[in-house]
Amino acid sequence: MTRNKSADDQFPLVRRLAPAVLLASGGVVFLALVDGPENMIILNPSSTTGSVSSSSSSTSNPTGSTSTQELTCGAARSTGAQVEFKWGIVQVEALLDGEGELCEVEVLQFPDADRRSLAINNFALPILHDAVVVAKNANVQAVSGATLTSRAYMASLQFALDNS
Amino acid sequence: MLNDKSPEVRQLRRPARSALLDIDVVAIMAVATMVVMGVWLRHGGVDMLAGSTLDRWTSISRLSGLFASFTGLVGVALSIRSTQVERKFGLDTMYNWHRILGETMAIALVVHIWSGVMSWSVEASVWSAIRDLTGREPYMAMATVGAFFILVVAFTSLRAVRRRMSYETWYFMHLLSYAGFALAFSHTIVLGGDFNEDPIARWMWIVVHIGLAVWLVIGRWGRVVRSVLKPLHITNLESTGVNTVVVTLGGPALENLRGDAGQFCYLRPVMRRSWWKSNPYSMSAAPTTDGLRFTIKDRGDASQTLGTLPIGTRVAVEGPYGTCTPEVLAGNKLLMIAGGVGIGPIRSLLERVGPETEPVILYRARSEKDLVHVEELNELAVRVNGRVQTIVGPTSSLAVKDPFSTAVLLTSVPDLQEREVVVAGPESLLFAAYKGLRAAGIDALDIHFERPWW
Repeated sequence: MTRNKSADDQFPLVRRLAPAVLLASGGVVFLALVDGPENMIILNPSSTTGSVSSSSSSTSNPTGSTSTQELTCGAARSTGAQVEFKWGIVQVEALLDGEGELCEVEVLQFPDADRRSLAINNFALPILHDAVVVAKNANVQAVSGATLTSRAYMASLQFALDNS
Repeated sequence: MLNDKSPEVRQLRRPARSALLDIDVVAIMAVATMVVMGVWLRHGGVDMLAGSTLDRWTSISRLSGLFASFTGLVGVALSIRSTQVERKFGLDTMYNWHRILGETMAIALVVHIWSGVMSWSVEASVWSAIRDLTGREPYMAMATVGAFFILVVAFTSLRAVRRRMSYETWYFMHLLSYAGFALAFSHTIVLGGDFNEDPIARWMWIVVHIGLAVWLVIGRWGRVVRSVLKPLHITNLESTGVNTVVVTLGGPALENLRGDAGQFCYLRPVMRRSWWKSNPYSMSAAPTTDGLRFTIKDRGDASQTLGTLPIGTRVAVEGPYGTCTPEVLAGNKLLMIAGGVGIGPIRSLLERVGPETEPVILYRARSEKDLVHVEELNELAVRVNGRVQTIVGPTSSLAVKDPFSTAVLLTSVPDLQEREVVVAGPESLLFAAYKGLRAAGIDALDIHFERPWW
């Protein structure tokens, strides 16, 4: 039976290929520009890399503060890894109680070089602190709007718990 | 009327050919999928699946959210009735895909809601998660209402449910989908992990939504407005057969239409009580500058209204739509199977085919009274070396159990395998005929019909 194909073949090669190639290239370029998977680097915790700005709160204070709670909390401390991520470095320290459970977390380092990081960390770090202390582990929901910071925080804390 | 057209009367311009090539369509769909679903991949979605419970549920929630939005957006795009796409695939195919994508979107949305609740309840109770996701969390109240609307639309579009409601009710509920998309949008860019921290992905998402909205307003709503501003009007109205009217529409706006035999139009009477009712009807004669002719059977609702309108009533016309035109029949020998008002497009095609087609027309009807245009059919058939054969009577009372079984078909049409086939009529006839033809060895590509989409 004769078939009348509405063939694309009758169109020149350029017409056939150009739109598809342009669209595909555009799509690939777009995906390349999109943020990649979160790259976190766990820096060697024993090294003191001087390139990191660290105007954070406390440095390690082994004896803790004067509250009576510290009698049990702070019985042991474990320093977390310095975790470098897109916006800088986060490092936390885990305080454990007599049973070896997490009871308090202190932030040793966080990115504060620019206003945006400061703003994000100002609202995210307290939320993370409360979440991990309640959960007594490092696996909590990331703070919306501070996903990368949250993951770095959790990674640092996890390292501390693993090595406690 | 058939052969003595006065010189000024001529065929309408034939429908334009689509500028889209197959490769264009494939590229557009592939790249769109890649761009939308790819952000999930690039943000580490796969790794998250292998991570903690929280990561896993979050990843599934993001993926299903993206997928639900994507299928929904493509579904909306199809309903715009883009001319380029319509010329390539036909409105029937587009609406069938719209339905499939709508159902897919609803399922993806349910998965998205479920995984969202699961991820938010990893550290809290399920009840707390539900309260967060239905309003405690900003933007989620709107998203919840939006999701509810989408699910209602999907539910009411299931055939079993839709059958039980009037067309009006179903139609206005379906419009809720616009509200559904609009309400849910903000939560996607504020809470959606793939967008709230990635400006490039977020801008892509916003641009896509704005672009679609603009296309919708200009392409779909603009088309409606244009059809109402330049309507045709009823020039003739005749009764025929049983509860059937033959309506002819004419007017200066005809010049702007492009169409051919075998196509259908959406007709919207421009009247206060039914201006929003627009329904598809096949043309029962080849469209000419004399007018468009429709043979409409009263099935209650809008079809009944059309039959009662006075001459001169304005009718907004959208279309003609459809890919079942003389061009696709390619000059081969023809078998045309018609049932009920399906005889309309068959009769119009008959006007436009040549003697080399030697058409055999099988006209199926429940009773003699239901046959329409029989004289016209015979006249047109004889003109091109064809013949008309009617199969009359309720199916249960026919001499043969299945009038479309291979054996019966071959008896009526001995050279069946050499013929190209056009089928038009109610769904039951379409399926019965299709089944019988395929069983007789006719290639699927050689069987032409409009797929019903409701």
